[in-house]
Amino acid sequence: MKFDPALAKSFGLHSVIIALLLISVNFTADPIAMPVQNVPVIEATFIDAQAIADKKKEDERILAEQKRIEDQKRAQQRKAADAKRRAEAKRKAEKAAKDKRLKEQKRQQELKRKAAQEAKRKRELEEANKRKAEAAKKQKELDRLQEEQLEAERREQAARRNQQRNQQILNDVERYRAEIYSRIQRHIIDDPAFKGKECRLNIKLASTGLVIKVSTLGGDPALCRVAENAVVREEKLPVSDDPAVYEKLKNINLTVKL
Amino acid sequence: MIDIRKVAQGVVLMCGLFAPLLANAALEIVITEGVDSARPVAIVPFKWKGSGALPGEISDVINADLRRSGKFNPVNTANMPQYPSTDSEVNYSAWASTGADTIVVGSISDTPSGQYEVKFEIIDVLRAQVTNGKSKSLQNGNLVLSEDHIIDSRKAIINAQDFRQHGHRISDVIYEKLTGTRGAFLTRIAYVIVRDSKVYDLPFQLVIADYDGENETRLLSSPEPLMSPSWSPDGESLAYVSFENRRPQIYIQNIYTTKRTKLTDFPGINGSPVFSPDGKQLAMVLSKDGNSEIYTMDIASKQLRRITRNRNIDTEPSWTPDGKSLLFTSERGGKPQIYRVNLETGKIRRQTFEGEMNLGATIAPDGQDMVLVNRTRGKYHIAKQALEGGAIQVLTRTDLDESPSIAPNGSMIIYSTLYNGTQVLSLVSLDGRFKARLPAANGQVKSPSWSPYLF
Repeated sequence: MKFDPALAKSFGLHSVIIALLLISVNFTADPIAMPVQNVPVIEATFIDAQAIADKKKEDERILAEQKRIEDQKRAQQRKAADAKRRAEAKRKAEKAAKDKRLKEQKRQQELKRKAAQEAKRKRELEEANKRKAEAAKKQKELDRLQEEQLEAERREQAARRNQQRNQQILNDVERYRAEIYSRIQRHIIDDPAFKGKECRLNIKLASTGLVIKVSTLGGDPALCRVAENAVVREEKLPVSDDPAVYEKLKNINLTVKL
Repeated sequence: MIDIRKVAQGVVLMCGLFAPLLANAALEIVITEGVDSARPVAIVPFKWKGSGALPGEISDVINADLRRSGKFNPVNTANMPQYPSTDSEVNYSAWASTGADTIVVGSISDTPSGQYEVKFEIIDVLRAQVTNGKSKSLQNGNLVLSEDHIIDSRKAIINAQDFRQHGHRISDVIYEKLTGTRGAFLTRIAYVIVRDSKVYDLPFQLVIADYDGENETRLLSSPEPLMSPSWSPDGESLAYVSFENRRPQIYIQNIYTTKRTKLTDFPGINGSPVFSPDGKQLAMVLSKDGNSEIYTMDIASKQLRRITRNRNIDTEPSWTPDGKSLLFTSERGGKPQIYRVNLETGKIRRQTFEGEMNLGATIAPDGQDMVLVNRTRGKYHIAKQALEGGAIQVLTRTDLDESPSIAPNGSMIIYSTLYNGTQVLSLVSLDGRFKARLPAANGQVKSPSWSPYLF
């Protein structure tokens, strides 16, 4: 265990001050307890001039003596009072000093305490902040995960909806593809001369299904004529009212490969 | 908890699935099969602009050719909406509504020299309907009237006696334009007619006719059997077997000069002469060594080479288009089946396994298929099988079919068959869908042989 040197010093100083104070209290108690001496004032029975003079002189001397004693007494009293006052003042001063010291000490202590408290508060605040931040971070992470999960779910849902929609479009496109196939195919007359030959056409359809354009992409000229005629013969091919389906139908690459 | 990876996989999968949809790609439609039918075409009677009577018909010949090919169904003249003679007179939509995609219009006029000018145009009326006959295209940087609805237009000066032949020529043009394959309407067939011996002194006749049986020309008449005519690749000669000397002998005869050469006179069988693709050799069947075997002979030197050596019958040789192998019929497996012999290595391989018998094989010009006589449940029919094996496809329903011979464009087979107790010639397309019987001759008709391209 280690003593704070300041604390030790303070302790010593205090001990001394306390001792001094006790001693001073002992000093001041005595003068206050001293009793006043009463002297008989009237004792003579005859009076002569001399005697009166003497007596007057004596009286004056006694009076002076009395006065001197009283003055002395008064001075003593004043002195004692002064001492007492001084002691009191000293005590007061000391007390004030002590109080001041104590106060200062207390203030210091208070400051220290406050500083410590402040430090503690700060520390705690920091810790709290840290905890808060961590919690916030955690929450944020959690939120993020949740958001991600939600997003994934949303995406999945969207994908599912999209898939359903796409599937519907796909089904429709397939249906129309089959219809278009059979509408064209019925005009293509098989000929063994076309065996192994191929023709590729591009067909552009209006939203009404009207064949806008038929162009040959390549292949056997005779077979291409047959294929082109088969398409032209239809004039109008079946298309869907659904614009999304029509989008998939408006541009057709037809391959005839017999 | 959702497995993100699974979702991601799903998304990727779906993207993969719908990528063709999502992308602005064209819808792909593939047609691999046509309708089993004949194409409607219209051959408008050619307008006669001259005076007097026409020496011959042309559009009738074309109509018959196209119909007989089995590929076309010409519009009946009575059902035609109009009778134009040039493209400018054609009402395209009226013709399109007859169901015909293509029409042929033409005219015939006489020339000061006494000949005839024949003009014709092949018109794609559907295309013309779209372009209104006025399609334009860039040529040398200028927009010109391309008239791409006119598939072809030609004119020719012909003699009075060539009307029929010119009709076939036009048929060839139309056929080639519409099918992409050379027509065989100008080819001929050689065959043997056996007339009633009570009426004819020389009942056996070797004749040549147009492929449709018209313009029959007798090359040879004989009191004794004539057999197995076979065309030389240049179309100028026929090899055949004649019994005129009371035994079979192989002859080669030029059909234009009628000059003939006796090639073989071996004891026993001298049969089935067939020219090699280069025309320099003749494959044949001889039994001079005791049994019916396949031989080849160098025509110039008459040098013989024995190809088969088997105690069973080997007969009916036929060249592969590359001239490196022969198909032949052999009974080495018990019943007749088709075998193939490699002329370089002498290696023999059996080619047919289906049916009770397969005989008289001949190879299509593309070298892919062989046509033969198949016997199944006692019935002889013309059938087809891929050379490299596969199922036998029976093509005919006629009776006692024999001697198939393939047109040089590979589209038709001519063969002899029994019809009402008489042997007649019949045509069947190589896929068996189109059948036609040639006009009956006065007598039994057998051993048809289709000529190569002649013109």
